[in-house]
Amino acid sequence: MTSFRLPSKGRLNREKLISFTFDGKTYFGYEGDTIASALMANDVSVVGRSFKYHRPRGIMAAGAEEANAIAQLGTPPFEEPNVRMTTTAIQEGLTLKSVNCWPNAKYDLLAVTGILKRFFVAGFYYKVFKWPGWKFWSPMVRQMAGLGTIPKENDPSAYDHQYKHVDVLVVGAGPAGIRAALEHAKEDKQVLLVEQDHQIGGALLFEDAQIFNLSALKWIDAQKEKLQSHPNVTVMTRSTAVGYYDDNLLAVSERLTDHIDVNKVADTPREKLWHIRAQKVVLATGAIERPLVFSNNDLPGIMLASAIRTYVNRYEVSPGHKVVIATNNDDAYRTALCLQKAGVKVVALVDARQSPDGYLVHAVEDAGIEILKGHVVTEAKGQKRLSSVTVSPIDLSENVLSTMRFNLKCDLLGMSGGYSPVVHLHSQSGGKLRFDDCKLAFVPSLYVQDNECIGAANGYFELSDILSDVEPIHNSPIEALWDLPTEREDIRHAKRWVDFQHDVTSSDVNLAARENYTSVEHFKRYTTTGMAMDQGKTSNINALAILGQVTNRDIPEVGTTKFRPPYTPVTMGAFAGRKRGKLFKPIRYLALNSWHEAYDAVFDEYGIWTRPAYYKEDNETAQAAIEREVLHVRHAVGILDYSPLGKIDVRGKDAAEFLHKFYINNVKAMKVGVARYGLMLNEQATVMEDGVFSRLEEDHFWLTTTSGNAAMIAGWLDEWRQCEWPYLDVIVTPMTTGWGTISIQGPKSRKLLETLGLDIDFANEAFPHMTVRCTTLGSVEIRILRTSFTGELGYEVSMPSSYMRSMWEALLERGKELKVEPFGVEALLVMRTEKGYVHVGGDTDSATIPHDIGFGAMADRKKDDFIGQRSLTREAALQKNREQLVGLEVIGDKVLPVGGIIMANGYSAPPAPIEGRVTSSVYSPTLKKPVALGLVLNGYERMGEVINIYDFEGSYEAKITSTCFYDTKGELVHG
Amino acid sequence: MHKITCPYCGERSEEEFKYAGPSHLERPIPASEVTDSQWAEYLFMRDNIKGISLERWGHIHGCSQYFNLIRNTVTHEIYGCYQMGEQPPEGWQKLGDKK
Repeated sequence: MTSFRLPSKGRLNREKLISFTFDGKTYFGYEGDTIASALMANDVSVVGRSFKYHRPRGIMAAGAEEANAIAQLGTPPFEEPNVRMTTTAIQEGLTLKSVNCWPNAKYDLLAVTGILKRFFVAGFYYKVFKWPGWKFWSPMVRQMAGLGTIPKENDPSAYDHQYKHVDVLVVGAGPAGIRAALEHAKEDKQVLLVEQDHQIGGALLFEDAQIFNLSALKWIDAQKEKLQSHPNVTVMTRSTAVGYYDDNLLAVSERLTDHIDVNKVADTPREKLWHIRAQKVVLATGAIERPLVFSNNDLPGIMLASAIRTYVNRYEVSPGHKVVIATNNDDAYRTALCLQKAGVKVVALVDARQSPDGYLVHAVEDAGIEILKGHVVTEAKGQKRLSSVTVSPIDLSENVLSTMRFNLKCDLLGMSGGYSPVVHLHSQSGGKLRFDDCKLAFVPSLYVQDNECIGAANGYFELSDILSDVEPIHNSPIEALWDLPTEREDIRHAKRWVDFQHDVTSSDVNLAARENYTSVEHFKRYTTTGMAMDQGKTSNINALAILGQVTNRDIPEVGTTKFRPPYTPVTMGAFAGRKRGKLFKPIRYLALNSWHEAYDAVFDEYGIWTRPAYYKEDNETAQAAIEREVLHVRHAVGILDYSPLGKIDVRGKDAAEFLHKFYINNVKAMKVGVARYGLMLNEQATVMEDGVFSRLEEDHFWLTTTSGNAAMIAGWLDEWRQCEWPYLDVIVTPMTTGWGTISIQGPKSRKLLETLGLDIDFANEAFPHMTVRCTTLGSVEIRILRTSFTGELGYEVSMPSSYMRSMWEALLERGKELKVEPFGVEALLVMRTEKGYVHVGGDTDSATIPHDIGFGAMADRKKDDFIGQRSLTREAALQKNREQLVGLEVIGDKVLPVGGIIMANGYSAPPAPIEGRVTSSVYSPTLKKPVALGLVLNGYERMGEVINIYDFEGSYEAKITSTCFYDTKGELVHG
Repeated sequence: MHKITCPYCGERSEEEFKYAGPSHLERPIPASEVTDSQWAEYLFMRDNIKGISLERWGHIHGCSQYFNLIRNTVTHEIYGCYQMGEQPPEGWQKLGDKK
């Protein structure tokens, strides 16, 4: 340890030495140290490099507002980029890497490129990279600029989301938040107090204060006890309220295990994202000190005055040995007193004000510390560490800087430009701000949700404003010092940093203003001020105040940009929570899944369902298996687990009239026991759904839908029922997942069904194609629809899902002699393409109307109102040039690519006008050749025409035909 | 994230609901008597309301019931709801005015 470590006052556990590495070097600290305080005690002044110019940067703050001291934390797969060293505790074996530099922060070779300065002025994104284009520049810029690196491995730790409802949510456990929490608890409210630090107390953790007869720390201990013993209060530490949304919903990011061991999977989640809904929200989020703007104010060794107090009092380390304090307000005087008390030499206190006379000013004078009133620091000097500052007299009332200047040797400068209330959450809540001319700060004005800001977050910076037990003191008022007057040549040409993390200087602000980016929202984006991961906590107010000065506007006129969540960065893991890997989205398994698995099914995802694509025999390829299954269905009989088929029950006196409004078919004319293939349109007349529906009873219809549309169509029907035709007596019941379906297809399917011994006559005349029969087997309800999506004789047998297995096994057992085999979805898709059955959504798009897929006559015949009817007579629907679904008979033996582009007549290679595309394409094992369907411009008038098709792989030829390639007379389904 | 009071279930999180377009949209029929412009008005033309908006919402992850919501698109304030087929309460246009 070095001489920077102060004698123990009991804040750190000096018994416990902890080792960690930073940029490959090992350092030691004590339990209680943050990374920042430990590095400081080890005399590490350069902790990172700046975003654009790779300037050496040191620790500037002691909390969440830190702009410079950020690091890559931990080792893969646990690493986290851009962790603030000021808010992260050290732990044994922790590894840290500085960001944006190579090979390390101290010796950064990229900094040699002083040339960078020329490129990275305000608006450089828009100016410099115009030629030869951003694509040329971006790899280089990405290499040189940026912060942190994205972890490449998956973090194995768990992350979680949790929900909570409370009466009162208090954000921030400083003196104001603690007081509010206890007061609300007394009124019998359930109170949740969240604090980003690992302990409560806020500023009292480092301020010298006397509260009645208690020291600050004793007071905190007493409050902790009160909070713990109160049954109405819950305190959450290491929990940052990061977002404030409508109706008092707040997002709180809680870090549960990182302080124990970053590089280990813990029993509990690593982080939790809480969704907290509160009746009332109290924001006691404190305030953040502002830096002063002067030349080279980003040198390591320059920090916020309050941060110095934090390091000295809370972390028992002095950030320097010879200190200068620069200020425009009384608060920084506390730093001078604190340092002197700790035995650290204060060279001088430089106060821009002519004649401050507050209580603290006198206290500093009495302590014998030199105060340079009416002076400012104009420049910091040093290499990688501050060695001296230049000071000049200033007249703030006239805004005139004297040409007289002198140097003060020092290794630490504490600066204070006043305080900005942390109004981020208030602003996110929709609340408005007003600029307080006395406090020189934006404070909350209008509230739109049930919340209030208290304490420093409301502009009450003195402890006596918050706690009545504290003796008030007289303060002299703060005076504005946003930027130095620029009459002097040495000031005008120097870099004065405004946004430390995004490397924005006062001259960038000036440049943006000269280029007329004067609206604060434009200005922000042009200069990128406040857009780094610190979200401009220390820079925003300075930037817009300077913008105001340059454009001769006062601060309220310039205004602020809206604050946006999150307040501090939140890991992607916390956002994702449990929704990773297999839990990313729910997987739906069939009721028969385990049977399919045991039978060597190869699964695939079809929409939301995981279904057997085919069943594998021995070592056959997928293609061979699918062909085998197709041929088996075509020649014998196959069964398919068709359970994802959408199933909707529609009942009620007016069921027929109701459905009549949806289908283009004449529903009212349907007889009981009859099924129809129907199309549903939306109001634009787009075909949105096709399926077989049947009339089970006069007042009872049963709809089957495309699997992917099952939930949507049920919702569609019900929304119209409730909102447009509420007078109709009808009930819509979705039953897709409750009922399973087995599709039995093939010439022997009737014989197979007959083995079940049901009380149904399956004879062709008794149970013809497109009819439905209901029965029971034992007490189990069964619905059998005679229909086909393969072109063969076929039935769809539906029953409650829990009976699927016994039915499935019974069919296989009793059908042994018929050689029944299961088949998968792929074989079905091949067969329906051979047959030219349309697949809505695949063979159609958002412009397809019934007329484009061969159902125009049916739609035109229907005179009664149905959804989409009027749009069928729109100009676009009536025009000649429409894409129509046709068959594509392939010339040659290559299977056409789905999505292959159909070129206009006369073109054999691109570029060519596009006249459609291939929508379905398979190799037909039945016909022993490839077949396809496609949407082709004016396809119906172009039968027999040979067209050229291309995709990235090559070009193809095909002849336009009707869509049906197999059993074109359609006799088999009636067999 | 709004809290929405479903008239059937009570206060619930916005996640359970679906916005289903503006309320009181008149569907013009019969088709044979509807002009192209009337139909286009119904199908496509929507007011981009700044202020108080009457909207159809469905509690689709709850009771599945649709209802009308009176909502301020600027302040996100929700003033109340009424059932399908009903008209908004009198004076709804002035709900946003400060008392």
